[in-house]
Amino acid sequence: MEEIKIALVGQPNVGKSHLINSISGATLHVGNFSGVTVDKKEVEFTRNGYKLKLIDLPGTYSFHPYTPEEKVTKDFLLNVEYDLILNVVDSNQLQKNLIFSFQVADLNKPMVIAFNMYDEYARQGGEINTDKFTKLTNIEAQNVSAKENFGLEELFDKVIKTYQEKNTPRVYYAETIEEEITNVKEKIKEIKFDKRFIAIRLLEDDEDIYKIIHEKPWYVELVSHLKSSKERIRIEFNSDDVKEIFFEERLALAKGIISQMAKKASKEKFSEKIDKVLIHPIFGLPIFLFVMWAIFQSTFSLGAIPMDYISSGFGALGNFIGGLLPNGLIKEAVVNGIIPAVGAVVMFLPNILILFLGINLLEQTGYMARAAYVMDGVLKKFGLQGRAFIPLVSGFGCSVPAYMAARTLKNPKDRLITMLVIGFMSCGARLPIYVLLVSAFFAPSIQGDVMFGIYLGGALTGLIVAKILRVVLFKGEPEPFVMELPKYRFPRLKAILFDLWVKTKMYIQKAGTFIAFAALGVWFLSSFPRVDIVKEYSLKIEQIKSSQFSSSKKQIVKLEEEMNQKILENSYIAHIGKAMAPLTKPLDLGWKEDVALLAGLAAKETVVSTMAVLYGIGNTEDTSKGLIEKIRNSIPFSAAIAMIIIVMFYSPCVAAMSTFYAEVPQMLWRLFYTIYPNVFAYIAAFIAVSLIKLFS
Amino acid sequence: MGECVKNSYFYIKNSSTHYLINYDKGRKMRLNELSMDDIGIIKKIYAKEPLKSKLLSMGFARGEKVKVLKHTLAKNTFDIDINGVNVALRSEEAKEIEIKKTEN
Repeated sequence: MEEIKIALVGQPNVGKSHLINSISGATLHVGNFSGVTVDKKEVEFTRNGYKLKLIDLPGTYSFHPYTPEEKVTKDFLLNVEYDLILNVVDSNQLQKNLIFSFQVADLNKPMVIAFNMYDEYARQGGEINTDKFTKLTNIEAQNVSAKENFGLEELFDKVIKTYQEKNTPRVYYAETIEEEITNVKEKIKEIKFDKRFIAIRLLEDDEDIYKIIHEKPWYVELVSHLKSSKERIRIEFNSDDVKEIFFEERLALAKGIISQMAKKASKEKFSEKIDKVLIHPIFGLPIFLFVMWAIFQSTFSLGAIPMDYISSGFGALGNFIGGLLPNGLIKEAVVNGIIPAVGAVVMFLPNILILFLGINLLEQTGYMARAAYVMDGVLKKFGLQGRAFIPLVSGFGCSVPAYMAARTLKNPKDRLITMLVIGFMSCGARLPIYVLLVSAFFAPSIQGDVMFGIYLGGALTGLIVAKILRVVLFKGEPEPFVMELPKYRFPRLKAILFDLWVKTKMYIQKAGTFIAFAALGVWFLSSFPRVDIVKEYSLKIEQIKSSQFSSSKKQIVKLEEEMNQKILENSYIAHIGKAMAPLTKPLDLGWKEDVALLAGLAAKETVVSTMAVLYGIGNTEDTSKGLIEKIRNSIPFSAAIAMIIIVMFYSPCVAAMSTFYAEVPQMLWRLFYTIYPNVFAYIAAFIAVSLIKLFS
Repeated sequence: MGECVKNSYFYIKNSSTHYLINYDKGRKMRLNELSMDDIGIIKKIYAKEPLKSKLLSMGFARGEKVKVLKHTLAKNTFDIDINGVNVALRSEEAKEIEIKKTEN
């Protein structure tokens, strides 16, 4: 079957991801924030005997790339083979979008335009005559609504038609400009791009194009012609910047075409009305803080409701499987090792889902960009800019996408600073550890506030560290802050549910595979070597059994517990932990906590599962609640605080670290990133423990 | 009238070498001097690249109408309407755009 390779381009927030979801039936992530489409997404489907392959490119405002993502799009359009460009346009912002469409049209490739979100536009009384548009520009166009799923089939008909006819755009500028384009074009000899396109880009001072042609033999002759051509345009348009003239030219063109093809929509006041409250000069910041507080509060309080059910469910499961398996090592490994550990991790799934839901809603409704606006003033004081807010907040969900989201920052310094402090925004996987320790050591009435305090404390520390980094290591001004505030949109239930479902599936999968194996490993390391101890105790137990006193049963249980304790104290893992003990003694941490924290470098979930195995909760009925009890009785308050602080600041998991390494090529920064959070965590925990000792 | 007094005050505070009387005459007003609900026409963009291209791609071009929808309390960050597009920018960026204030 013949394949048509289609590059999907458009400005941010025009609903490209949304459009893809509507075709394939599979819903991908749709957000309102500029730069949600970071990875290259491809969709394949068949229509009329053709295989259509859509490649979703990062949202781009113009061919003068500003962010690394915009550069990705430009590089793709220039250097990769494709058959056709599908340009998605927001019908509600025709003028701004068409300026970019005309830049794309200059490429002189077969091109189709989709006027997306046409449903909203039509509801406000707007109308677009696409036939007229095609007549004026020679670009086939279709009104579509990815949301209400109309126009898509007609769009693909037009895509196929354009492909068959190899139909290219005909968009022309003012006479003087066209004359100079032709003049420059004549001096361009062999090149793989369209000559008119190269001429336009050269007139616009496009450095990427200069780089491509500057080794050509005809370059020198061209440059002198270029100079006089630009001069003539400057004089004609009474302006000193040809690039700006081209922008204005396209704007004028867009205006002209819009006036001929579209009926204006009445202004939508919805977003403006909401903004009157949400980004109010005085109330904006308190509202934002309240929203964040509410998310963490509900993460804790609503998330606690299903906890009991999940934990008793796993308790019952442990007993049930324990009954099925014959006595022996395997039973012990499953009942004492895997099940309580997996149970302890799954118990926190509701908390994590609520947190993700909160962040997701912020993104999908468009509030996230407002939060960046509200926070910009605050972030500026710490040497960052409002845009950095998005990766930072994503960090509360998971550091991996957060590191990727930092790509929206153009300035490498800003990006690096932001990425270096993302780890201080506690990710979802760290939540279970906090929940466990906070539940064990704080009164129920203040637990939610303590949790909020932990997150806020982490975030504030991150900001202060960012400021220090800015002053000490990255001198210079933060990059300019210019950001579109997208319209408020009602979140789509389907997309959100799908997202939560994917999260749930991934979490359970992780708990069932990675965490289970890790728990098995921890169990093994904590149960061996044991031969001598088992021998010693089984002898004692036999003696009691044969003596047949009435208290013998109790004595046996006691002896068994003593045996298990002794095995643990002599186990491999105890040796590891005890080797670390001198280091963490000033922090009041015992070797079990050391081992748990060490395991946390693999994945933060394993901190809780390791504690579950080491504190031997497998024997009790109610697995996870039992763990909270045990921990309350086993470790001092100061150690709990130290542990919380270390988890807040030390290195994130392996997955996050490798993402950072992938994003930051400089070895020196990788090394710095690997070491400094751990040193920082240690010092912070030490200070906290010292303070607690001082005041108690 | 209230608006006018506010703006004049702002002006004096920012450049002590000029006099209030210059205000309505030849002085070139910048976008960051507007207050909430003020409307202006863009005269010139002084920003350097790449900020200039960014502003242009958002629709900030000569002759276009801008309206200040919101600004933060200290006028550090602005929310500007340009042709139905909401754009947030800092006063540092707004300062790079010369405008002529118009009556609603």
